[in-house]
Amino acid sequence: MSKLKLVEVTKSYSTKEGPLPVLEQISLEVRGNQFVSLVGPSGCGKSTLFNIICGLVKQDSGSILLEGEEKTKPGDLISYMPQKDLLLPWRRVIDNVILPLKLAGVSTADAVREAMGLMDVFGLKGFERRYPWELSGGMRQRAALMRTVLAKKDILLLDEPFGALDAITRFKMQSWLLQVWHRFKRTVLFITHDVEEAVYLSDKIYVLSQRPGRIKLEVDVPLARPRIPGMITGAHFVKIKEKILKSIDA
Amino acid sequence: MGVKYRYPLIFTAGFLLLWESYVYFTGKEKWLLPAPSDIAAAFPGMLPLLVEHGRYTLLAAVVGFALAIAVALLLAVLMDISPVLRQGIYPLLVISQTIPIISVAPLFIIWFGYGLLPKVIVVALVCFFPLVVSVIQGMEAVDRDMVNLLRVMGASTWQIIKEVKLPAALPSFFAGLKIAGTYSIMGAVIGEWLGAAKGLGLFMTRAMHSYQYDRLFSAIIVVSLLSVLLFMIIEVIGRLVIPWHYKKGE
Ligand SMILES: Nc1ncnc2c1ncn2[C@@H]1O[C@H](COP(=O)(O)OP(=O)(O)OP(=O)(O)O)[C@@H](O)[C@H]1O
Ligand SMILES: [Mg+2]
Repeated sequence: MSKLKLVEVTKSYSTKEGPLPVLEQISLEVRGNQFVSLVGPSGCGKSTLFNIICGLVKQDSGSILLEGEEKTKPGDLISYMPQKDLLLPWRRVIDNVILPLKLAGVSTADAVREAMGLMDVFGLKGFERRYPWELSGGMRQRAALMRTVLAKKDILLLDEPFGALDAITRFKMQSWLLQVWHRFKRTVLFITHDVEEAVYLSDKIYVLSQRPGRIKLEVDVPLARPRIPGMITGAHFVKIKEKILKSIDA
Repeated sequence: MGVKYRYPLIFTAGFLLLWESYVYFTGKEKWLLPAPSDIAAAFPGMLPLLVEHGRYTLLAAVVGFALAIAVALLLAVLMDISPVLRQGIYPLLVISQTIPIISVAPLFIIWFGYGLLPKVIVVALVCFFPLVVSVIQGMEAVDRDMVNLLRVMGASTWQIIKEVKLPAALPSFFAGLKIAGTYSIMGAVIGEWLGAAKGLGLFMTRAMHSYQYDRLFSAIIVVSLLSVLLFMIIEVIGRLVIPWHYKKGE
């Protein structure tokens, strides 16, 4: 069943210099429990598309279907992890990750109990009482991701969660993200610049053009799961990667 | 610690030395301009009296300051919620600051007598403007993306104010508190100056009228000390309440 479907979504921002077309006729589909990635050059409108999906920005035309319907409050189904981690500096790690539960009316005691049980999974055990500024970049991303997952929404929108990390940390985080995804069984739409990352993680990839973003290519990634790091050098993996790189160059 | 206070101490000592030698070499009469040494000599004998009066001044200042904080927070939140209120009230706030307090304070004495209330009102009037402005500016400087994130999480307007806007306004609020806190003692003295049964303001007018300028300067020292004390208390509380603000820079 289709969890999230975009039909010909178009958007331009009005700026001082006139209209700035950002997205053109974006149609895509994410099915339940699928991991789908969007790759595209910087500034092509990826974050804008996420803002449209979660209702922060209104599209000019086209529709967003969640479980087959247009929703007035997409936040009921969607949990969003923005490009910046946006951890609240005045809240400790534990208080940051339980924020969505608290906003949904869960008691602090229950929310804390649930979060404490998962600290290990998210690699934050022992850091519950720290403030965000006391964490490394990788830990901040894990805390932000934990907050996103704890919101218990079916669909996760992850906007370049590993964009600011060094290659080694990034690689660890990718494998770890797959484990988390496996464990929590959610539908994921993932933004990245990194083609290899997209192939390694996804079931399906959409390649976007330069601004205004259009869908240039849709690729299925029929690699076996669970994915293992060794796959990256495999012939099938490389072929998919090359196909995407070629379409980006074209 | 030592290094931090070295230059302030040197400059203060230099200033006092200049003053002392000016009085010494010009042979100014003590009742016209007492030298620091005259004031220092008179100060211990006056201390019990200064403490007696200072208590009233401090009480008026602290109560008025607290009132100003409450009113400022309430107004800032209301103005944040309602743009109509904001546009309507802001000019009034600015105009209220152009009214010379000295000219209206006697009215408060006619209305409310010689007790604590008129002084509290003067203090609150002096303090609340920098507070409102600091809270409003702080709330405006909030990271829009944080507000948006909470909106997607389903937060209500009030939850957004409580969880994001007010905490984000704290550094600015504390800057305002320091300004207003220093004004508060002065406000109380002005209130007392115009009519009181007790207080440093009354003590000062009496000293003035009897040409006992060593007494006047002793009272000024107490006023300054109290103001600096309030300032330091606010600084210490700020470091406890907004650790993220101080930690980032260090
Ligand atoms: N609120 C806005 N008003 C006007 N223009 C905007 C606004 N938000 C984004 N833009 C412009 O729209 C374009 C797309 O921005 P967007 O943030 O969606 O890109 P992106 O694909 O996420 O880029 P990146 O990979 O660098 O994060 C950019 O040129 C940006 O300057
Ligand atoms: Mg982006």
